[in-house]
Amino acid sequence: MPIDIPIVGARSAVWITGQLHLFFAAFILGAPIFVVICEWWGHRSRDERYERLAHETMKVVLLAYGFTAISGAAFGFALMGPYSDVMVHLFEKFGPLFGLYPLFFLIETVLAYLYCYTWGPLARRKGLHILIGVALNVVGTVVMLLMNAVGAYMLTPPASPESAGIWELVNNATWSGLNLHRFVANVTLGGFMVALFAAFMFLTAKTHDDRAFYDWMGFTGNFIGVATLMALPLAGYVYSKEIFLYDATIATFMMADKLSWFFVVQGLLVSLLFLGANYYMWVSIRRVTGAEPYRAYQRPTFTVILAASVVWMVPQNFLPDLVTTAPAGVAAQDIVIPERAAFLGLMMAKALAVTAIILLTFLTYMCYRRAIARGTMRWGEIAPQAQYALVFVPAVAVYTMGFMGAIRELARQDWHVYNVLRDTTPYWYTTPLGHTGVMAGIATLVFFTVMAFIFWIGFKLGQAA
Amino acid sequence: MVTQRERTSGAHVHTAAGGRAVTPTLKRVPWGVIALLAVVWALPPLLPEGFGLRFGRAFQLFFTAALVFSVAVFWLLDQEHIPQPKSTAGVLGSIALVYVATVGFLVAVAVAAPQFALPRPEDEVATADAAKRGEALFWKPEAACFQCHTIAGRGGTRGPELSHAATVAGSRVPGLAAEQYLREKMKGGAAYPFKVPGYVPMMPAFGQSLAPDQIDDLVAYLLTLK
Ligand code: HEC
Repeated sequence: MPIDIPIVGARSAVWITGQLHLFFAAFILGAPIFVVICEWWGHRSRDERYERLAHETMKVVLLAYGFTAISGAAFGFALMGPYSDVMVHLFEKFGPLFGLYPLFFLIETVLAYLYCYTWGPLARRKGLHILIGVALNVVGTVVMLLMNAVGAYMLTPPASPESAGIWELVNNATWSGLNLHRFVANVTLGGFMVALFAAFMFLTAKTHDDRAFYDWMGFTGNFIGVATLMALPLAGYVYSKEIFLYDATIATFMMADKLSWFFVVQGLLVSLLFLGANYYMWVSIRRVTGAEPYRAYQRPTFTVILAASVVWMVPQNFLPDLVTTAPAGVAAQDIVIPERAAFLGLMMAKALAVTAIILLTFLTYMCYRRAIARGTMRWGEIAPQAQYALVFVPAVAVYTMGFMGAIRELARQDWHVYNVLRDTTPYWYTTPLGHTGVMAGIATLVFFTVMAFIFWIGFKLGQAA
Repeated sequence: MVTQRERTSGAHVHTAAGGRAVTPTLKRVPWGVIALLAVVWALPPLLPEGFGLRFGRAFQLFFTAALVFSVAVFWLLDQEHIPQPKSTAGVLGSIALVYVATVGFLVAVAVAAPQFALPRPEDEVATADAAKRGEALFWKPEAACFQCHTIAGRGGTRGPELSHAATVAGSRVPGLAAEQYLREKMKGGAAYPFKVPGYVPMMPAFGQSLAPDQIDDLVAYLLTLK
């Protein structure tokens, strides 16, 4: 390592700045997808609320652009000194791509400003305005695909990188899996963040009209978030399958060795996301007149979701990796799952549990649709605790992104580029679970602190003006 | 189940009393939870040793935590209308509190989970004994044999146990001595013609990724496992 970064250390500096950059990037990529869909839908259905939701959210997105760039620059600086050898390697391999990246980011930014500021002027030419929004999303997605190529390459480079062409480097074994997973997750994040803004606005609203609108907005954001969340376990499965096919030892390292307990925690995180989203739906269904009969399903639904969550989380043993033995004084049978229950620790049981959770979430949503279709919705009369569920879910979602992202990085073990460029810095080792959790926690809290500021400027002050 | 009476009284609280909270008491005795707790704590010691369902202490704590959490979820579900702060600052404060508490909880879980020790670079073995070097290599991520193979109770289970590799290897392929078999199997991995039945053939071919002397070391080590 040419030079280290004092006090925090190079690895932590890269970790936090890179993570923040990814959080902001996910938000500015995911939210506009949500915004354009809303604008289009509002235009089609002549429902003014979608238009208002889209425009108000886009203002916040635009403010987040600045922070995406700043955190990106900080990330770049942190990499420059300590990890210059890695950067040289990546520049050698992906030269043209690092040229295209700023170009597309520039186009994306121009389109974002254009999209936001032509909202009024193009009010009568909605088709054109929506087209700008779509173009923004296409370019944004290209920007993401470009950098995903580099990230995916570091974990799964082609067999002989020296002779591989640029397309082979880009289209490496896990590029498409990572693309799919990130794309869907960004929309999920966009939806949940919109629901978070709505929750805050609802809780501070003074008039019934505002409450009704923000109640509806939270409902819509959560709906998009949950709809895409249900696809995420599948996308994750596709992605891990690609990793497995590329090199079974990485998969073992993740599922059975050092990262095995990370996946127990992942089970907790995703269960919490589903629980939060379902809690919101079951509390908010109470503001639908005529929905009372559906409440009989509430307890059974949660019983199954909670039981499935336990199955998902139950570990095979309480050992952190494959080489650690039980500490002195603790018998192996105290910390290893008993024989007859061993199936609970296997992939099959976990997959069934996840399927059950997704299925029940889907059924809950169908109940909700039915109730709305048959009864009357009293927008604005939702109980505050449902809004706090909308506050809780994004906190877990962002932490999950940070945590799972760390798993993806740690899967490279002691390599910068797996089997190609070894990590010989003092930070070459896999960080234990506790340290990883602390880092993801710091990044999450910093992200939301900045978001609170952005949101204050864009939503609160913007409205007062 | 929520009774009709509770439902209407809940609606009453909601409309008439506005933002007042329902008193945080359980409405009924949670018999189901008590029964489950009894199953978790009282049952395992009663089961015969060889029955294969005796959950150890760590699992009992795990299930108890899950039950406590579930009770909290159901309690929250039973609430009709939890009060909210009136001022903007109050709302902001309450949201910040939710964030700190949520992230704090998640970090606490990560810290409380089992942690592996950080590796110590001074563990490098510089020894003239090939079997010793092979043993060290077996447990290093570089070769990662331990991820799939168990020796003397440690390691993974995707591949066969190698605690008696030397003995087994001699009878695997007719006409091939243990040493030759081990070397060829390691070089070829799952592509080697002979595969131990009953396992998914996923062993990587180490002929490329390990140097010949590293393979020699591993063979030397495995040959000591009679
Ligand atoms: C990804 C998992 C995996 C890794 C890593 C792995 N193996 Fe294997 N190994 C297997 C599987 C599965 C089998 C049984 C199927 C077969 O024969 O191909 C096996 C079989 C063997 C056998 C034959 C055993 C017998 O009873 O005949 C030997 C010897 C062996 N492995 C040695 C090693 C060594 C040494 C390493 C490390 C350099 C290693 N393996 C790494 C999965 C793995």
